[in-house]
Formats: sequence, C-alpha cells, structure tokens
Amino acid sequence: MPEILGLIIGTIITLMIFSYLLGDNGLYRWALALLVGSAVGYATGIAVDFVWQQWITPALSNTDPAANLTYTVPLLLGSLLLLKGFPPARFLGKISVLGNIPLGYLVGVGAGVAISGALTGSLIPQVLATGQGIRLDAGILELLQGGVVLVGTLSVLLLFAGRPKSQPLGRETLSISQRSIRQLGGFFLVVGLGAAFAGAITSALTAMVIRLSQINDLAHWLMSSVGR
Amino acid sequence: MSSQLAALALVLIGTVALTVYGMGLRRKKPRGGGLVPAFGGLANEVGRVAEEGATIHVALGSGGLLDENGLTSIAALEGLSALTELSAAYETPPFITTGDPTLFLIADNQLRDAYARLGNLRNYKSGLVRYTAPSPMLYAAMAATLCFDEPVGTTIILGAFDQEASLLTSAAVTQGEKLFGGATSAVGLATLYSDIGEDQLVVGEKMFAGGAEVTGRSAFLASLSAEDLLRWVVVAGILVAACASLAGLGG
Amino acid sequence: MFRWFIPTAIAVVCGFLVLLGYLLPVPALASIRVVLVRWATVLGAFALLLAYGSVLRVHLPRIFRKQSRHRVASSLLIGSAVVSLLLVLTQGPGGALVQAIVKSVLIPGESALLALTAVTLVLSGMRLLRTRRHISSAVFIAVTALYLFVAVPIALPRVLEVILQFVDAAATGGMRGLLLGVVLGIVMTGLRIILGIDRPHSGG
Repeated sequence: MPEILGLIIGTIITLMIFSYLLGDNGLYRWALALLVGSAVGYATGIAVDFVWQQWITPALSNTDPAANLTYTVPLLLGSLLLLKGFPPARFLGKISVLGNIPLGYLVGVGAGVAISGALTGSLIPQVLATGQGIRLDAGILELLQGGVVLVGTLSVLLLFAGRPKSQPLGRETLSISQRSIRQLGGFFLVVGLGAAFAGAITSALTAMVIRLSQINDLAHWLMSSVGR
Repeated sequence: MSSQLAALALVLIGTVALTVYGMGLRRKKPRGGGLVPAFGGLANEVGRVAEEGATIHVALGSGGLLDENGLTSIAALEGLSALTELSAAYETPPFITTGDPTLFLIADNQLRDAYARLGNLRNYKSGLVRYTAPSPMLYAAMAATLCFDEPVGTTIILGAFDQEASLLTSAAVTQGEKLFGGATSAVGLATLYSDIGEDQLVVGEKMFAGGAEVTGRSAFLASLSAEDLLRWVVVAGILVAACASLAGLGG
Repeated sequence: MFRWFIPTAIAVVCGFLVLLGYLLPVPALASIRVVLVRWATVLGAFALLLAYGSVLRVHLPRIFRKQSRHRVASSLLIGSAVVSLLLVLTQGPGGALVQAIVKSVLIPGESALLALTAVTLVLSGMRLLRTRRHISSAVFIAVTALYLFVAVPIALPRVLEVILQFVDAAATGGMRGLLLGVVLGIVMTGLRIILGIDRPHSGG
C-alpha cells in the first residue's frame, strides 16, 4: 500500500508540473512550492543534524582540550558566519563584518580544492587522452579520428587565446592564421555544443518516458482495482 | 603522483607569470574593455531597465564555493561588479537568485559592499539576494517564476548552469525580456546558445575575463596574460603527448 | 582589519595549505588539508541555515501581508518546516517517513522538471534561427538532429556510422577544448584568491 500511495503522490506532482506546458498556472506553482519547501527542509534538516550530531555533541562530551579545539574552531567560525544574517543598518549588522572571516576561510579552502581538482581531475587527464588518441597501431580510421579530436581541442583552446587591445571580439584585426584558427575553433565548438544539446534533449526525453510510464502504471493499477 | 607534480608545475608557472605580468602592467596603466562585449553591455542595462520602470534578474546558478564550480560563480560575480555598483547608485537594485547557500552569502556580501561603498547602506534590502532551492533543477524552476511575479526587464543567466537554464530562458522569452548570459559547461552553453545573441553570450572561458572587462584592474589583466601562457604550456603538453603516443611511448 | 585584512590572510593561508596538501606528497600537509576541508563542510552547513533565513525573509511577508501567491508561499514554508522538523526531531535522514517524502515527492518532482526541459529545449532550438542567422546555427541544428536521429535504436548504414564517428570526434574535440579553457580560467581565478589579489569575501 505505501508503494501505491507513493505512486499516486508522484503522479499527481508530475501532472501538476507538466501543467506548465499550458502556461504558468496555480497548480504548477503549488507543486513547485511543495517541492522547493520539501527540498529546502530536507537540506536544512540534514545540515542541522550534521552539525548537532557530528560537531556540537562531541564538543560538549569531549574532555580532551586538544581534540575539543578541532570541534570548537569550526563551530566558532560558523557562529561568526551567522552574523551575516543581520540587516546591515542595525547594530548587529555592523558587526556582521566579522562574518567576512569565515567567508574568507570558505573562499580560500574552496579555491584550493577547485584548483587541485581542476588540474588533477580534468586538465591533465584530458591532455593525456587527447595526445594518446593519436596511435599508429589502432588502424587508419582511429588515427584519423584521434587527429580530428586533437585539431578540435587545440583550435577551440586557441580560439580564446590572446586578447584584443581595444576592439570588440570578432571585430578586431586578425592575421590570416589567427582568423583560420578562429573559424576552425568556432566550427568545432558549435559541433560540440550541438552534440551537448542533443545529449540534454535525450536525457530530458528519458526522464519524460520514465514519468509517463509511471503514470501508465498507476492507470493500469486503477483499472485493475476497478475491475476487481 | 606524476599528475600531482605536473599540476604543481602548472601552479608555479601560473603564480610566477601572474606576479611578473602584474608588475609589468602596473607600470603601463592598463585598461579593460573590449574583451567580452556581453560584460561591457551589462552595465548599460541598469539605466535602460530603470527607465522602463523594470528591474534586472541575475540568476547565478548552483555553483557553490565548496564544489568544482565555485570559482566559476566567483568569476561571474566579478563580471557583474559594475552592474551591482551602478544598481546601488541608481537605486534600482537587481534581484539576484542563487541555488547554493555559500554562493548566496558571497553574492549578498558583494551587493552589501556596493551599497556600503556609496554610503547607501540604509537602502539595502536583505531580500534582494535570494536563495531559492538546493538543487539546480528546482533552483531554475523557482528562479524562473520571478519573471512572472516581478517587473523584470532583463534576465542575466551567468554562472554554473546545465540544461536547467532552459527553464529560465523559456520563462524570460515568454515574458519578452532581454537576455544576457553565459555558462562554462558544454550543456549549459548549448542551452543558452539558442536563445541568447552573440554579443550577449559569454562563452566558456570568457566568463573568467569578466573582472578584467568591467574593472580594468591590472591584476585581472595580468591574470589573462598568465592564462594565455598556461594555454601554450597545455598546447605543448598535448603535442608532446601526441608525439610520445606516435612513437609508441604512451600508455 | 576585520573587513578584508584578516579574512584575506585566512583565505591565503588556508588556500595554500589545501592546495599543497593535494599536490605535495607530504603526509602532514595532507592531514591538515583533510581537517580544513572538514571544517569547511561545517561552515557550509551554517551557510545553509542563513540561506533558510533568506527563504523565510522572502516568503513570510507574503503570508503576513496577504500578498499575491501567499498560499503558495505558505505551502512552501509549511513543507520545509514539516520535513526539517521530521528529520531533526524524530527520524534523522534515514527515517522511513523522510525517505518516503524523498522517494514520492522529491525524486518524481525533480524528474518531472527534467522532463519538462525536453519541451523547453526543443522550443529554444526552434528559436535559434531567429536569434542567430548564421551558418553556425545550421551546423548546430544539423549536429543536434544527427545525434537525435542515431539515438533511435535502428541499424545504421556503414557510411553513416563512419560519418557519425567523425562527428563524434569533432564534438569531443570541441568540448575538450572548451573544458581545458575553463580549467585554465578556474586555475587563474583560484590563484588570484590564494595570492590575496582577489577578495570576493570582502566585496571584491
């Protein structure tokens, strides 16, 4: 029974969301509000649970000062961050500048994580994959494909190279080689975007099929229940 | 391990290049402008929209400071700095929506500071920067409702977006709003490509030139030059890897 | 002092430690990096509390002043309060009711929104030729159409298969070039922050 109840609720929400295809309307808004409310509540609940269970409770029960410090520092920074919530014109708003300290911490750590992730997770593997696509032992067709990938990667990468001194992009004076690279890069970029666009439509259509099949399942269940 | 060392080498090259170019440009009095037309056009929108009695909606997406898209969001905000400054001066504040709590804080901070620099902090309203939902799809759907509920004249979709951006563009097009935008992912860019004109679209890496375009600060321009240097290092790396593979040394 | 100097110093030191913790094979640095990143997740949770405050600030006045869409605002706030209280006070994240809400409300809802983008994307694709009257638009549409056509599970002629492989290679090259450029932008933006040149935490 709980499965059927879940199926009914999911189908109703799906139909309310799909009503947007007729234009912005109250049903769509109501479903969206319910979804956003549940999602915000879920995320906030997880956050509160995480801070309480994994940080505040151990901080209160721990007697070792050194270990306690590892719990206290982030909680202190978090408390300073909460000062950012006060309206700026009031007194507490004026001390909200202290919230810049945890914000600086977040920005710094985020930058460190992002740089290392971008370099070791994206740049270096992609550079190697592009170079290693050119292989003599794989056959002529694969070699040519590897060549196309190589030319595409380089031309798009060079599409953004250099910066015009004063003229807007596309209207600056360019040498013939620069213009050729830009045209080639532009072509490869558009092909890449076309493929990405098709991928987006395909994934959306897959979701559509799943939603419609759920509605179909419910309709079958209802008809078989009525038949009984 | 070797990829970590290669990454470290790139970081060192970038750091040295940024310092050297920065010192060079400081002496030359550089100027921005003309780098990315879309960013240049954003500030003009403030006056245009204010004359219409409308407002601007800036959708920053869901790229949070602690994920891989955090710096994309920061770059987007830097490109919007002229717009936020002007909005504070015109008293036609934009609505800024975000789908990540840390990005919400940074965006709120930037808008607050723009008001504070003009001594206009009393007029700052906390609801101008809004956190709308915790997932990209819900964020875009909820942020798109602003197009119907508020007198939005221009929608700017700038930051880490994927196909959810089409919910925003479709609402903006339905309401006849002017669109600006840019994304760094192929899917996000492809989604925006259909609805946003060439001069209003920020393509991929150009997102990171926004700060240089609108502020003209030597540090930002030096960063672009250092980025170009790294680009040539990467090109060389690809060619070396290709030659090694051809010689049967890859694997 | 508190506006930018201390926050920037903290951003620089923490940024460097995290970056070096990833890139240098020094166990002590790696342990420091783990601690710093764990602390940052705690701050992320606090940021979510502030963000929840923003949701309340936007929707509560609508309810109290009976502004337009006040019923929608009430269902949003009631939904969020019920789910968060259920999660915190009674069941925790793995509770049966919380999981039921996730499975029968959140997952179908998000999936329906994703499905909705099938229509919005196709419509925006149709608008493309109006936005850009350029040869690149024709290439974009042709590539999209080709990929959608081959997504249908039918046997393709050999020629089309070969063409598709080359289009695939061109698309891979295009996307890879885009990605590499973005990574360079990310690296330089991050380095500006870690070197203290750029201060987004104190308004730029």
